[in-house]
Amino acid sequence: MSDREIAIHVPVLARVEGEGALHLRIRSEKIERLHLEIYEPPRLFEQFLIGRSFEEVPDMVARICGICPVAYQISAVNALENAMAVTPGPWVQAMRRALYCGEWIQSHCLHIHLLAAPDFFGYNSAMEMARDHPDVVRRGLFLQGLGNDVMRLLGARSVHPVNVKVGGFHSAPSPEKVRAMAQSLREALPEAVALVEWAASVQVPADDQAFVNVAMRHDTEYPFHEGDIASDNGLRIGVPEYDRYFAEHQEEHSTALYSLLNDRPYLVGPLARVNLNRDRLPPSVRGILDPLGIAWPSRNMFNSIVARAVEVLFAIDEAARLLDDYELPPSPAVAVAGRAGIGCGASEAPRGTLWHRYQVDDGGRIASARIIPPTSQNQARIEEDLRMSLLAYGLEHTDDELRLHCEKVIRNYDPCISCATHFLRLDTERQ
Amino acid sequence: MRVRVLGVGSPSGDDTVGWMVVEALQKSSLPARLRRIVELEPVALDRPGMELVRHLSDVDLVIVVDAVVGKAPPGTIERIETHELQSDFPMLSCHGFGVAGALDLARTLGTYSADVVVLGIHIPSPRAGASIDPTVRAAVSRVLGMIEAILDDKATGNITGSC
Repeated sequence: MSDREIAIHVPVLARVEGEGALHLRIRSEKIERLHLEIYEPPRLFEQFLIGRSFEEVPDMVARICGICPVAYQISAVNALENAMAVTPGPWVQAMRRALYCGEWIQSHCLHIHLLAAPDFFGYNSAMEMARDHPDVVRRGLFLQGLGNDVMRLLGARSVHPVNVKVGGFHSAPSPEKVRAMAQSLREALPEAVALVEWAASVQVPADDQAFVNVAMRHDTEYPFHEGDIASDNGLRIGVPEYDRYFAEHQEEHSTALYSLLNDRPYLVGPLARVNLNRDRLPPSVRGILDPLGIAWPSRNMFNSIVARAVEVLFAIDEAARLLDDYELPPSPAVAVAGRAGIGCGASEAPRGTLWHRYQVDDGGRIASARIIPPTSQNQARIEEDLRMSLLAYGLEHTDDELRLHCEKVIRNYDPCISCATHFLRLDTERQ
Repeated sequence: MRVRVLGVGSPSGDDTVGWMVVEALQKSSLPARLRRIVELEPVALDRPGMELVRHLSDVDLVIVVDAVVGKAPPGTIERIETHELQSDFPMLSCHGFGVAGALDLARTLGTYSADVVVLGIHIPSPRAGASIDPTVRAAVSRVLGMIEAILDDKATGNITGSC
């Protein structure tokens, strides 16, 4: 047994969203301390919402994240419509789904090409990778731009869209614009297929871990914003039941809460979604996914890059399908009068399940708000993964190799630390 | 000659100025001498990040107009050469992907061959809200004048913007 003592501190994690750090101490080939430290200051969004009109919420929560604003908007309107007994109808739900497709496409392409892929090719940055693999990065940017176009079409702009409201949309795009978008999406399908095949060809470390997958589950569709919450250990609950099963707690080293299911970490995000909902992918996507030679459900977190690529393909196909059926509605929203109620809503953000709960008072003002983003849910799983993955990788590696491996593991989750830090309780005491 | 003017901004106070320039261009028309040879496309962008990369292709000249914070008095218009911009790489977060990083990436990918000129309009320290500093508002018409001068230079082959 080696007496080597290793202390690895990564003070600023690169190529993740927001500010986090990693502290790892290994003594005599045992991990003594492993902390993913999220030190980005709390953002207190839930408190900002108190006393505001329900109508302001979709635009306010969009500001939580510049990469996944649609997720925050859709979970919020789901929860508020649930609270105020609003049924927006099939046109609105279909267009929300199409808007969400745009967000998945742009967010996943960003992560695959700028954040994750450089790890697997031995580059320090996307810029270095772009020099040697310009076609791959160009394709990624092209597809990402397509996602932004969908967000712009239905959300009025691609960063922090402003067209989502409780009850539907502020406006509906013209059929001509929608037809042109659908055609662009269809034309991009071969590029998306090539992306999936490329992602599956990337040599990733072999890593077999047992973990619990959690994602939304719909009776017929691959989930975006409708359905239940399910796990692969038998959980299937309605969205309002979420906080009866999932328990949050605070760890001293992090400004984001941890979340556990039955006292165990769990995974949310693209790999969990594909693992749980592969049977909900359309045949056209299954036909590309199944021959790739990857055993699903996958227990290798490094296959997240393939899961993201598959979801890009699916989202392009799905958005084209939804937009093909587009008709200008009599009204893009149903009328909503503020009324008292409590409601919960969830949707599948690019990084995983995003759950909201609101209490609305008689005047339609927010009395309480709770937002549980995917990165905080993945926090415990990331730490668990790091422990398992480091042992599988071998603690005999050099400090630099161990550090790089840890960073690769963390980046698999596409953690959005900026999103995760907005719900720290104010009564926290630190010394 | 195809020219794209990219006004980068947001709805927040003085940061709107890039959009104001685009709006002013849309409402005005170029002098006849330029109208004959310039196909002008003003585009308002909301903190484009990587999206900027694709707006750099398929034209002969790109003029980026953005608010900047520096030591010069508010309202000062500064022509910035692309090599003077500090790149965001190595990128720590996609939330922070800016104009310089996009230009670097586009150059590396070979996705643009246009000349690029950046016009920075100095604003007071950034703040949210609707009010726009009078000096910043007054800069808009001067930016239009500078754009005309740049187009004249480009038309006569004297452009100094670099790709």
